Amino acid sequence: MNRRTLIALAFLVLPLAAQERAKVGDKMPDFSFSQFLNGDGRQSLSEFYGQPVVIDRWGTH
Amino acid sequence: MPSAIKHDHELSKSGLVSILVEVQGANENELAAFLWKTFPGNDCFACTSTFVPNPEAPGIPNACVIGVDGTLLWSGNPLSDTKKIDELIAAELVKVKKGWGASAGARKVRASLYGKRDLAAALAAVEELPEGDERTQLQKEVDARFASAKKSIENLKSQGYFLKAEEQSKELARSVGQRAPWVTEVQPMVAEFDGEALKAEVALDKKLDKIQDQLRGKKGDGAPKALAALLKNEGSSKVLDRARALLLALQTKVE
Repeated sequence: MNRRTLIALAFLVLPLAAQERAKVGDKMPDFSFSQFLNGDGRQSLSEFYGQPVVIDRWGTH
Repeated sequence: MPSAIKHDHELSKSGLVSILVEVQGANENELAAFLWKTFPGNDCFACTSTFVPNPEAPGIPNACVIGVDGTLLWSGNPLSDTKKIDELIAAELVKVKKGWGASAGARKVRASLYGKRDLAAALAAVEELPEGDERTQLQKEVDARFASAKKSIENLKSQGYFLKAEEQSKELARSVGQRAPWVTEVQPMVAEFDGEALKAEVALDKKLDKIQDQLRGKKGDGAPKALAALLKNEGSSKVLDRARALLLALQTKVE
């Protein structure tokens, strides 16, 4: 991996690392999901207020 | 993930929202291919990589449970804590049905708003409350729910989900009843589906929905052929864009 690629990756990764993370018991910060398959038109967490939400992070490989 | 799909089937009608976030870099087509071929009965919301601000955890699967008021209730490996997750979800679904809050008035508003999805009844319950912070907060929630419902319908139309958009428009009309000023905003949204342009999209969407139903029922061997036939329709259509994407997904190999 050359230096230019590393710098580009750093620009991508550092903002994510710096983003706020909630602890159990905290209110979750609002964020938007990428476009859903099987969606109902809602795209951000705050739009699900009033319903419990389970978010499952998984992989296809 | 199968447990999330099972939970969703059992509990989505009671108000549970289940979201699958793929984190291994699949693009939209690869995600669709995987889900249609591996879990065709899946009804969970599913999306490609999205930053989820729960506590960082090594590896997958990794999940979190968020309560009705947006509080993070649990985060970790879903395979190691299934009983706890079930209990948390059950307790939150009681809140959806019965409402929550410090006063009986707040619980009445929220039960109408989130449990019965009845905006008119929720607003009437807000108006019964004395002036103050609680009433202001609940009025905000009612307003936010209406705004979100309208935005969802617009999003669905822009994404080519016209059947769902029509259903949601009718549902919103039922929910607001004759309440001003909502009713004057919602009536044109419902009437728009009587226009020729949306009628055509809804008709195509019904055909696409039928193909998807066959896939869900694991009787989708003829789906590529049916999609190819559907795509012979001419003209610009967001439903046909979805049909093209589905055909591509079905033609994509899953590793």
